[in-house]
Amino acid sequence: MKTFNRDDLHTFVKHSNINEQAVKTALEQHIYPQKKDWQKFLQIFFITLGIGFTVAGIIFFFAYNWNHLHKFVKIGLILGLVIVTTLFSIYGTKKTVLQQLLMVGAFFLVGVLFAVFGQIYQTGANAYDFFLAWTVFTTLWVFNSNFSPLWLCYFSVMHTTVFLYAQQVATNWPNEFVYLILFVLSVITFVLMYVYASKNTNNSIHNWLLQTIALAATVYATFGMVIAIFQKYEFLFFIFLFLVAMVYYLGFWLSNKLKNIYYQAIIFFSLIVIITAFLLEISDGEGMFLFIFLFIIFSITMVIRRLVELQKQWSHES
Amino acid sequence: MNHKEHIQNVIGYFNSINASPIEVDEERIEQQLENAYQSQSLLIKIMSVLGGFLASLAFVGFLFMIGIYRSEFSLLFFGFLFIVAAIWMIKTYKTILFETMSVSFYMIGFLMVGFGLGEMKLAEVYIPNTYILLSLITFCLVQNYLLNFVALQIINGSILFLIFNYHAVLLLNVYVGFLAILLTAVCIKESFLLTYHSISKNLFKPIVSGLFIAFIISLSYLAKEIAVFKVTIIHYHAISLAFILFPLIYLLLDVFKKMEINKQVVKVSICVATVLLLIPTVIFPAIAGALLIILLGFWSSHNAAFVLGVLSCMYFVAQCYYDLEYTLLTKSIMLFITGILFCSIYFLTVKKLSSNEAV
Repeated sequence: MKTFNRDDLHTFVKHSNINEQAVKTALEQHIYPQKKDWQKFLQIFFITLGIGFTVAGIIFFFAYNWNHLHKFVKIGLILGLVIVTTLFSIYGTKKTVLQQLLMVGAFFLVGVLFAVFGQIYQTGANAYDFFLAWTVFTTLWVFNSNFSPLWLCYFSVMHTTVFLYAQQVATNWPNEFVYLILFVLSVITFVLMYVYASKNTNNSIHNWLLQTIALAATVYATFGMVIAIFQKYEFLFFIFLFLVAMVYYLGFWLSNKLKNIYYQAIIFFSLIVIITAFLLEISDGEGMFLFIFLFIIFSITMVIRRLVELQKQWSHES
Repeated sequence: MNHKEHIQNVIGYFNSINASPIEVDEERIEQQLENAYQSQSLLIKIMSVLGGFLASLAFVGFLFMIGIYRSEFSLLFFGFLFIVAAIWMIKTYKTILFETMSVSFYMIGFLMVGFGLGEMKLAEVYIPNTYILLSLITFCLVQNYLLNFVALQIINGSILFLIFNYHAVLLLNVYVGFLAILLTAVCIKESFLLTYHSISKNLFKPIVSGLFIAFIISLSYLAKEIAVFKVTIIHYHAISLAFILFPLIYLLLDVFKKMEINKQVVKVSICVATVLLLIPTVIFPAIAGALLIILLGFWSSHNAAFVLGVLSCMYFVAQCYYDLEYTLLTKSIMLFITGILFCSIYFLTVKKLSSNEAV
């Protein structure tokens, strides 16, 4: 096997006496693009620029005439686009990647449709019911699509709905309650997806989707706990603490079961941030800042050491 | 992955292309490959970076709490101390956590020095000059990817600050052109720089990445010229465009060799067509600069630079059309014509670009 990458080449040149000509030959043969790559690059370059500029020209043309269009024409245009993309994406029994991407396009066009509706009828900026309608009306497509990026877009819109609802309607909810709801929602989603993915092996719920949901859950838990800590330990804090403790314990169990350090890593990091907030709540004098500085360095070093050991141990086992 | 086998294979390859048999420090190579493989997990790297950043934030909080900002002398003193400590730390400890902390201390040190100098109410020009001096000294003292990268960005930022302070529009264009030529020279002469001297070996990577980013930042300042300088001087743009076109044509000549295009007529006509196509970008030379980055990133196989070039090209084109003072209709016609032009170039060359494969 004679292929090596640029880092390998640099390492080699640093510790040997290879001359300039040899390095040049090595670069040209293994690292720089060959004639085939150049041909492909130029093809993609010209066609992308061509299509990109042409489509931009058409969009600008519509933008110029947008104010003069009748509202039926505006909504009809976007509805037409939604119908066309959806039809193309469900055509045929075997789904190609292009069709799945078209479904994602249809998903965003539904959002555009509701946005235009909001613009025509002046429902207000970022109204939560715009996102709610978007979520509800695309649910069927997403559940049928089996395409991980589409699931991710769907969850983002769902969480945005909850967030904006809390901001615009339920203004009496405390902040940490919103994060608690989002945390519980993410955990339930994660559990459902994980169970579904382990039951059906022939699915496309990729690992990265599960890991992203877990990351979202951890972020909500961290934010919520930090806010709850600074709110002086109301009753909600103890519920939150209990739930977070349970979920984190399950997270450690999952990490050990799957032999994957990812879940452990994000939980540890979240715990470090929460403990830092706890320390700051106790006292925010200068001594505490110095102590926090030392605590963070110590804890992160310990955590990274443990994670690297675990990774070595698990990769040798497998 | 068997490192020893891999090393032997690569040594065999180099022996075959080198004039004389090479001497290799196998142990250190194996050690370095092991290290790279160990900490390859992106997750651990991200955790270290975030942890180092948080720790430095806590330390800055500590400094603020003890009121260090009340005395210029202590700001300057501790600023210099932090910069020296950062350099010492990165030479002594080789783990990612300490590297990140060292870079954070380095940046905090510079901030404190700048703060201190500002509090002393000297002329504004002292701060960027001090920064440039300190960064250059860093280059002499340490060769580490992160630290030298940051030092290069500080030099670039200071030069840009000086340019804006003195409203030197002409200098901005000359500087952008200079960066274009320097970047292309460094990329093309990779083999020379790697084998020239031990310092240049270690400095190559940070300088290349640093120059790419510095070039993009300077281009974006050139793009925002109208917002900052309140005036757009087209004659000065011609200078930066010329300086960008020279490396572009040079690279094109090299691409001709790679694509085995030998007819003189074809070569000249492609060069002339490129120049003519890029002449209209004199109103917005950042677009030509982004095209240079795309070409350079692909030519030298720097994928990150290539992607950055693509993204910045899209941004600069959008910014250009946003700033143009024509109606949306005129803009749509211009965009449409450009699109049709590129589509026709594609259809003209697609046969040529793929027919060689069949042969």
